[in-house]
Amino acid sequence: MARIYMVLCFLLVEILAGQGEVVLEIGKRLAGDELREVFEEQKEVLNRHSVAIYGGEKGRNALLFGTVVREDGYILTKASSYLEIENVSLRIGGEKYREPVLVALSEDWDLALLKVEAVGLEPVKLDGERSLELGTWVISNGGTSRRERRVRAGVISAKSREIKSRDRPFLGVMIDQEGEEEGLLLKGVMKESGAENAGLRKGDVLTQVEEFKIRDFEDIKEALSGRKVGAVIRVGVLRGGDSFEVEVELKSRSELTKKKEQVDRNDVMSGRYSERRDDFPRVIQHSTLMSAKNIGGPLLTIDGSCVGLNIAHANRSENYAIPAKELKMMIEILIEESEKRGGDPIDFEQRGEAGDSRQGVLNQ
Amino acid sequence: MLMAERPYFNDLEVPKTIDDVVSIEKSVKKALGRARAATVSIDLGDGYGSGVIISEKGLILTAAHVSGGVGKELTIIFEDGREVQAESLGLNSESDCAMMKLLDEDDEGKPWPFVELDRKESIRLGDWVFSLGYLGGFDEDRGVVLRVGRVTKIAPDTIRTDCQLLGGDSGGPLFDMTGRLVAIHSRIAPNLEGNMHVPMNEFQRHWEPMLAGEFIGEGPFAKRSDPLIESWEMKLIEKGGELIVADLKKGGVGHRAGFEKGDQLIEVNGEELSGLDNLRDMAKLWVEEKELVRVKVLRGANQMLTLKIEK
Repeated sequence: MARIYMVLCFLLVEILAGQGEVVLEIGKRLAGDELREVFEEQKEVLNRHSVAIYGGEKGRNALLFGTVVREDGYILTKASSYLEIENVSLRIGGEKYREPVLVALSEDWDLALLKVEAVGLEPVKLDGERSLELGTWVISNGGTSRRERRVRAGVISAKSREIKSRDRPFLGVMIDQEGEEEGLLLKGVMKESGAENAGLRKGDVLTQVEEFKIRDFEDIKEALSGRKVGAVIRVGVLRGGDSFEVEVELKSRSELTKKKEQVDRNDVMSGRYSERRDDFPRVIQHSTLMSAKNIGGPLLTIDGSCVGLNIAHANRSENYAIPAKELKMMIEILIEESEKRGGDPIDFEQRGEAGDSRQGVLNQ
Repeated sequence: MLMAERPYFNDLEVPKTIDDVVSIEKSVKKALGRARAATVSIDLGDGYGSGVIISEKGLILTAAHVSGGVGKELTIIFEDGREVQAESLGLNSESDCAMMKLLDEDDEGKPWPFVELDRKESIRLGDWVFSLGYLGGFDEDRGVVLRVGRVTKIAPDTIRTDCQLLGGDSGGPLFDMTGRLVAIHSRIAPNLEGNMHVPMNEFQRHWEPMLAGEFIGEGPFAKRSDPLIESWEMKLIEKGGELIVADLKKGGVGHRAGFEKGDQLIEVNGEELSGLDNLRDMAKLWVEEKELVRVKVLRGANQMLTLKIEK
């Protein structure tokens, strides 16, 4: 009975909603077109400094944004998302640029530097000194048409900080929770893991990892905490009657299991989030209604200064931007790197063969 | 007086000038300090939620699906990482309201930080609001997460906003632009604007019983724990008038007493059982008297045994 009552209530609300009495019109909401009109000046600024990146099967879908960083055609965007796009073309204002050249990459910041043939573009005005208290309005790229970019407003929503990698380093051994008196018996080693490469095998007993004595699973967790993927560590082993030491390279969980990052319930409720959303040296956090497609453009304050570059839509409620101070440094480094190489395009397959440990991040 | 407090921009269809936008920002920043100090993360052991302190003695409002039950011990974490102990009071399992209280009535002689409630339901459609919470759990480097948005829908027991919520925000506070608590975060729909909060009037409707530790309603946001089944560590179901052991915890009380899956319970302490409710009524007596319980069970077609459960 109570249930029927609740259903009726619900219907009633829906009917009223249809008459526009109980529901705020979509246009008046935070991402609405009517509310957007107040940000007309900010839209002009965004239009000058941001780049719409089109691609897909027919090259007609707006898939990402970019930020103009120098008047002669240098543009920054999110590397891992950019490298996934086929049939790329760019739009700055209404102008189309067909063949952007990828001239430099930063794996630490997931940035790609692109170059187009252009003169007189308007680079963002970086302001790295601004204090960004929680609640400060910020403007990002909303939707886009072929002619112009639209704004989406949000606020600074949490403290600036490092986003640590979620990918934990692994030895690549299979073990029990509980160990023996002398150490932890290996039940097996994972294929292509650091443990296998170091010659460890089933039946070995793990006694030591760096300065930590190993007696159970918790000891290994403790010994590995704070260490990075790619680090090489000393491991003490007991085999038969012999005790010896080997060096083991730590590999990442995703690399070993060949599985994508685990998707949790919050991810399911987050729509399209950025594939790479962790392992950034420092970010500004803001809450703006957006998706992975809105990333790559500038983060502006309402007076038009650029305080960051949107680098990840981490989930429904959290977006990260590279702070202007760090961005300024990276622009200099990446342009210099590109000029040193004569502005040649980067061939990242070669980079991969050269043993780049972060190859996976670039989806190559 | 209330009218005077109401910020002018709430009565604009949309902000007309950039000054209106700046006024919203100023209001948020002014109210944020106090709001932030009173917003806490709740560590449930096997999960996390948020809550907000509403009295100097440490009374907390949260969601029923966060608290999950009455009289449970929990850990509260402040933004600076400080942990204090709390206990869950009553809840309304039908509307997702719950109360908790900090075990210490003061913070080493000082009052706990707290926020005022919007007791008059003064919130209107289109009003600007801000939301705080520890989505994804407590993170000291990040701190609490702020969202600013508008009230997009008002239903009798729910407010909707475009402040995007996510798991871990549940139980956290929604404030008006003067920093008064207007609702508690409850649930979300997959679309980005489907964020639901339980308004203060819903809390006020059952304020006294919740304060007294009552479990109100039959769900769906919380389920009554069954002391009997908890203490026996078995899952019992009623099937065609028969009371059957559906499952039992390995090494648990029931398992140690010799119960097996599929056993039918016939008698307890010489009294014939008529169903699960009848068994629960009897169980209340054992909890008080702490006696040895003898259960007659039918196993298979014709094996009758008596099992003893030690208290």
